[in-house]
Amino acid sequence: MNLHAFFIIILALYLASTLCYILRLIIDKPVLSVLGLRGVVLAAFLQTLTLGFHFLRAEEVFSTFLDYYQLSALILSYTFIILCFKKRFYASGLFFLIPIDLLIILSLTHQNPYALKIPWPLYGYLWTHLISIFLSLAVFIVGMVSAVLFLISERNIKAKKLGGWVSRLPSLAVLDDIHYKAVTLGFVIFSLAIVTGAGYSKVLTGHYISDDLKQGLSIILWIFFAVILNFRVRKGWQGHKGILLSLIGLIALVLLFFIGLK
Amino acid sequence: MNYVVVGINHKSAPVNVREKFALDTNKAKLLLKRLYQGKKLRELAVISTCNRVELYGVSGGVEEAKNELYRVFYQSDMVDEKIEWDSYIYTHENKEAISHLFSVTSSLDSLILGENQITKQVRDAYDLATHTEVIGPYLNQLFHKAFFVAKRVKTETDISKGNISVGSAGVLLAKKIFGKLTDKKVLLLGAGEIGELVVRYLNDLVDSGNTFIMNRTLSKAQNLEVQNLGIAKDFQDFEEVILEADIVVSSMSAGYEFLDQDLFKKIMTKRKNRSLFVIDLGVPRNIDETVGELSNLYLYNVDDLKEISEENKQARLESLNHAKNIIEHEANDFYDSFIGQKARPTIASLSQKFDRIRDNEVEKSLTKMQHLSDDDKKIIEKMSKAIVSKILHDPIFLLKNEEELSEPGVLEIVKKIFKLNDEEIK
Repeated sequence: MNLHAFFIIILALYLASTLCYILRLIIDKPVLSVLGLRGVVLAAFLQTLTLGFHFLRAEEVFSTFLDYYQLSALILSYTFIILCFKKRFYASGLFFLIPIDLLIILSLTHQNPYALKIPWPLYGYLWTHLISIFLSLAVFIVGMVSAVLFLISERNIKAKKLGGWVSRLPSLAVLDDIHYKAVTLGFVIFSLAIVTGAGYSKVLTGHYISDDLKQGLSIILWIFFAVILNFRVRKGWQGHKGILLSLIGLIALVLLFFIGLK
Repeated sequence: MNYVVVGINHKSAPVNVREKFALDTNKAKLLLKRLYQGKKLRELAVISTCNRVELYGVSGGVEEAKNELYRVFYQSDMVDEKIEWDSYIYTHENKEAISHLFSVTSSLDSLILGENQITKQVRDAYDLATHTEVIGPYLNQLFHKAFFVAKRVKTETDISKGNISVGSAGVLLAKKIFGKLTDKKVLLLGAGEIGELVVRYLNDLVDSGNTFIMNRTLSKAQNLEVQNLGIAKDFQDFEEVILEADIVVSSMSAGYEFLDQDLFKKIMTKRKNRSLFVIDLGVPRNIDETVGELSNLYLYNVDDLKEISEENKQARLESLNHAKNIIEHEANDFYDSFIGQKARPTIASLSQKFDRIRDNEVEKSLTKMQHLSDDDKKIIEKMSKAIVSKILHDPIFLLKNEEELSEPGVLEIVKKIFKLNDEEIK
């Protein structure tokens, strides 16, 4: 059986789980959340095995964008599963599954090799650069999801509305903590992506920074996050204000990622 | 003579209106005395909690009671500003008044369905009325019955089981904000009972030594410290202590909003915007409501607990219906006995008058009929009793009939027709 068919099955499982979580928002049946989570666990397990086989069979790992997108999706899946069991994130299934679905769909449409045999150290820079970009993408998506959930939950608490699916979300402190950790980790990986990107540029063009717009924007966003993280510690930019700013940065980063990839 | 209730509660008025009517013990005492002196209300009791202010009385009618209350409220220094209260005030008379007190005491009318505090608060109101000597046999019976009904509701239904009280609602909200509460610090402002209750719930989850108590009178805070509620602190250190706190429970009887937005702005800046959960249980409120607009500050007052209570209510609808049935049944029984009681002196007086007339007339006749045998005399005696009994049957039936008696002035008409004077009736 072709591995591609397995990726389709994986996508179908994620989509089925997404449907369960959508229905859970409409129908008050907790069993839908359980089914959704089981679907994600099964899909993640199958995805791990499939990717394992895929890497074993491939001449070069991470030679197509399918690998990278699949990796990001898998990281998100495992993060969601861990958060469910550790921090009771069941109610946030839909928010994780939408980006997972998108990443899997993108993986299936980007299967062509992106780099033919390029010489070392160029290949090393590019490989590290792309790995760190996709890793940071997954981590930043976790940060983005937790930021959105925080803002929704906080709005409800402020408005004294405690019912509905929002009441099943973890506490504000937990959401804030996960957001902070995700942004911090994402920032570190993103820093590595910028450094390796600059290295790649230096080898390729002789300059660390070229006139490429995405490089400039990446540096601006890196500074933006450095300021946010610094002010969180020093000036207390936590909670609503910090998360709102950080969410703006995260959306810009994700957009930049897709623009950059094009 | 009717049971009446005039009141304002969390359903009829928002907290900013209720707080204008709030009565502390001294004011409640004063109100009771003044109303009693007005002589329009024969017996009185006033329940004043953060969710309700209700006057229970025995009077000629509910309008009379309402007007009297209005007069006393506004012709004295009871309230600072005049409020057009008609849209907020509710009134009940007789069976509805009885049923209302039973619902209140059994916590069916509470913000938090099934909470136990209200029974104690009603008992306090009863004690206050007793000490002020404004209570009489009618309210005495009514309140004792209300306590009995509350106990029945509690033991025969699940209304108080797993209920979300004010205390547990506070904990629930704190958990929504902070998650784990073990390392959180709690500050209690004031020595009010509800505040104490909330803190006791929080203390079950926070580490010992993390709770601080402040009161304008330090000795009151120290009293709570003795009861292991927390560590008493001087009120002068407020701004210092609140910097450490994560949860502030305020239940001071300050009478005005003494904590404003500017103060909290300063505090939040100094705290580096660390989340702060503030529960304002004071009525009148202790904290300006605009404080809740500040980032990372979550302000809840007693009214805000409504939603939690409503959710709670849905979950225990079955118990609620059972409790309502108990209350309805008990209120009917009590009202029937009240009606009987109400007419009893008139019935007794009427019977006595007719018996007297019968005795006199029979005696007069028998002295003129000396030739009659003892058996004949007994027959005449028996016949006269039967006539009186048959004549009185309809008026007494009317007096015992609840619907007939609910018509205004029925007792008065009966008294007038048969010339029964009040002294005899008493």
